[in-house]
Amino acid sequence: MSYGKKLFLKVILAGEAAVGKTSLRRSYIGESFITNHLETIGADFASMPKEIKDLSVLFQIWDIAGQDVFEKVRMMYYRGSMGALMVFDATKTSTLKSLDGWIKELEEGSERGIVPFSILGNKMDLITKAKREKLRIQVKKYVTALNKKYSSKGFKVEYFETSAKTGENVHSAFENLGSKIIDYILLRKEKRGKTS
Amino acid sequence: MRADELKQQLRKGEFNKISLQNMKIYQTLIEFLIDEDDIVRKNTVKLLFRADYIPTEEILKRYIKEPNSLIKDVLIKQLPSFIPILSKYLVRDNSFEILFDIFSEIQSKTIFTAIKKAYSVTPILSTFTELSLRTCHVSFSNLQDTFINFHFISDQSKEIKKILLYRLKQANPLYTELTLFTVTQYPELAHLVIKQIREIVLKSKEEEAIKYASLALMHIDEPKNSDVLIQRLSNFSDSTDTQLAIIESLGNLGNPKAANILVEQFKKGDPAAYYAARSLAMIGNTVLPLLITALEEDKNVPYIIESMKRIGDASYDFLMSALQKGKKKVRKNAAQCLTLVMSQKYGYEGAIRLLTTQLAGKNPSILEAVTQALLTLGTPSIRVLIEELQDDDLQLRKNAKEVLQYFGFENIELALDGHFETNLNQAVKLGLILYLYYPSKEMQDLGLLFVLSKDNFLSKDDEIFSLLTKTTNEIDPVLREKVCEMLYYFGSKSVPILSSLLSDPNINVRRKAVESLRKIKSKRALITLIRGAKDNDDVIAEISIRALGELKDPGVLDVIIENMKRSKRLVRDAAIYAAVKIGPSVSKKLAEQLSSANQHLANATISALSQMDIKILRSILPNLKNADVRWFNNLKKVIEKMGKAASPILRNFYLKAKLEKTKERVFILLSLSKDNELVSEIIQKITKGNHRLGLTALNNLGKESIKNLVKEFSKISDKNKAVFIEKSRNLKPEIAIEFLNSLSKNNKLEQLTGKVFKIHSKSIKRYCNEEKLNFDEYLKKYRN
Repeated sequence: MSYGKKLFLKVILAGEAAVGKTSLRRSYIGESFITNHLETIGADFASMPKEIKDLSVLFQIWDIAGQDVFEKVRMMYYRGSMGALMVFDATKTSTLKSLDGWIKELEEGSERGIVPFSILGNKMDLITKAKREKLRIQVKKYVTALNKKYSSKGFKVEYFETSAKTGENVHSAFENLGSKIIDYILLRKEKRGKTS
Repeated sequence: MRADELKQQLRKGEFNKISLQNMKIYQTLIEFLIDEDDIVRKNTVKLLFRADYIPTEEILKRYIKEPNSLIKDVLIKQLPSFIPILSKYLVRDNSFEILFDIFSEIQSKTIFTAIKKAYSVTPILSTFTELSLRTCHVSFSNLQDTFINFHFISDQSKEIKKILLYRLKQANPLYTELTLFTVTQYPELAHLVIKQIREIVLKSKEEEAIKYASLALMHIDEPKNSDVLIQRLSNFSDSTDTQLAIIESLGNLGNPKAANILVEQFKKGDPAAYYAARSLAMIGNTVLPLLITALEEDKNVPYIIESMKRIGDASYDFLMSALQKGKKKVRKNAAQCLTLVMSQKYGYEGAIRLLTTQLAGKNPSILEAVTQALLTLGTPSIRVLIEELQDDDLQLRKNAKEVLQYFGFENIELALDGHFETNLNQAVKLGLILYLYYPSKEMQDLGLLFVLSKDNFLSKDDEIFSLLTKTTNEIDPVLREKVCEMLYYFGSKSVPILSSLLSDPNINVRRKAVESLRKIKSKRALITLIRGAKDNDDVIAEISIRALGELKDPGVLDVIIENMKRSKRLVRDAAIYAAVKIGPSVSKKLAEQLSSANQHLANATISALSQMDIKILRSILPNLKNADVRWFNNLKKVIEKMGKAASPILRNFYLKAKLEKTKERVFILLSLSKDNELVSEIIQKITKGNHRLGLTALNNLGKESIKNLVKEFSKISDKNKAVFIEKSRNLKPEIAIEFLNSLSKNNKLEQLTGKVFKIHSKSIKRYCNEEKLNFDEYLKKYRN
């Protein structure tokens, strides 16, 4: 069996349709960027072995379909997820506003409540520096509110400005999430140790 | 009437003087519709359209012959009157364009209002006009309101066909498109022009026409229709929209012949692939073998899942078969499909469960595929796999264990932790199963981590208790043993099940059961523990007896006494422990056993009584009066063990005792309790009374009492001293030596040592021989 003894980290890519989730996943896994957006049916799946914090992990990246039509199917793909990248389209700020709904889905669907996640503003290659600056202020405010809400959960929500097309911050967003998940797992273990 | 006269009367509005007797006058009036005089035109319209006969046909012909805006106005304003005759002019080459011009200026709703008005008088003709217009008028074709229905189509098929054929032959592709669009709106129409529709699908270059023609075909279930659609989809590179229409039609036609071309659409990706997946599902079960073959391509998987989800249960057998017989890649994808397809019906975990049922087999290729699928599905599989560890099928258990091994410790911990966070019962249940059923110590310890905290069960949910109860039926005694251990945490609720386990054929299980019963400390377990106390197994008996003692029920004394007779010391010790635990309430009855001829029982009784509270003597001592010698001798052993603590009660009893025999016995007991105050009484008894009793008591007190004895001895008269020495012949040699030593250190009494030595020299000599002491030293020192 090719999986070996690795820690399975199921990670969800969530966000509105056409924000670039599949492209981000492909950019990270190494497949070439596909310009034409392809609808994801229910969920797509890719896995990648990694070494994070001296641990052998298998990133299982589940790319969740953004369309409403898949809502019912989608919920079941959250099961067992350890973390998520919440993606919005920097050229379409309405997709940022809808992230609350996706975070709620993650919380309800993961079966372990809220798990570490990051906010990704994608398609940064398509906006001006000034717009990026303005957007950053808006997102930071949102991230601060999220950190306040989940302050007791043992992880910090962070914001990454990404571009699946140029590869900007794609790797760091994924790997930062991996580290956060490992820290979260260790923290949980420590907490459990104290109660047991 | 001449034309000028007619005009004159029209000007005056004298309609009643105008006689509409022949067609000639109508022709004149029609010409007046374009008269220069407004009044003449206006009154002509009034006259014509209030008569019984309205020459609509003639007016229309006049207009077609020579279109004129004034007549056009009349046509538009009096449209309801023209509606019944319009249809045939709308399907004629010489009139269509002229009339179409008029309708292109009228709003769809106005046209329909006119049709509605005409429909009340001439329903069929009006509906023909509606159809004629729908097939050429863009906005009217989209109108929801309609008089076209199934009966109309079936009754008037001949005329309708003429309209449709005319339209389809018209050069303008827009009319073909609108006709086909109308056909898609009223699918029964398709029968009338089916050949033409097929022709369009096969040969047309107009995307919209092909699209609507394809959709029109889907309503007629004829093999030819599928053939042309398949042909079109195979041979042409139409636009996506057109392809989607063809794919959808093929799905609706449900012809299995389309399955291959539909599966080929998967290569195109979305949206064609998604539409193809839906259409394949519409064709139904017959596509399943093809879908299974297509599983060889990884990228087909999401679409195959989509199809199979829609097909439903029938997919299950095919996927199962693929799991068993398919190629390696097919097997892997089939396993994933099986889960995702079945998740529609049974939920994600239900589907995983379904997949794991395949682990019941021994086919290695299936096991590999299922394992791959479960690993892909990640940690949610772990819960199901852990639950399968307790499945009735032992092969399934074995294989579930192996898959869990692939997941490894860390992932299992991660999965359990997830439940621990949100569903404690679940975490405890899974941890418990892991502890009970997983063979490795490391994993068992991991399981326990989620079950116990500070020696407490983290959840005592009924489901968990049921799990434990169920496990008591396991064949493997080790499992039953572990259950016995766990049941302890459920307290008295577990007593019945633990009691039943006391009849388990395995001795270790019975031992664990009784251990748990002991720890539970419930009176509900009394009967069971009494049964346990009679068990042939000494360990079970021992634990049961100890447990009975801890329950402190005096009613079990007989059981304890019986066990005091048993040959194994382990059991007897337990009985002693139990008696002591129950305490004074049983002491009186227990003390009766001091007269037992059974040495085990008597000794156990001595041991038990001696460990009880000194106060028990109050209830025991009154027996001294009548008790036999054996009883008294055993009581002496009790007192000896109790030591000095027994003295106050004995002394009190001694003072109150009236009978000499009782007094004497208590005197002995007091000496055995090392009551030093007894020394002066002993001297008195030796010198003046029962010297044997005195000596026995002195011997009991031992050499530790000599210091006191010498002190009291110094106080008595020389005569009594001599009597004492004389009667002390039976004093134990070691005490005599101690007595000699003490006397020698006392200036006033030193001179008596020779006398004392003389009395005891033989016994001291014997003692020195036995103890390898130097008698000569004593001889030298004390012989005068």
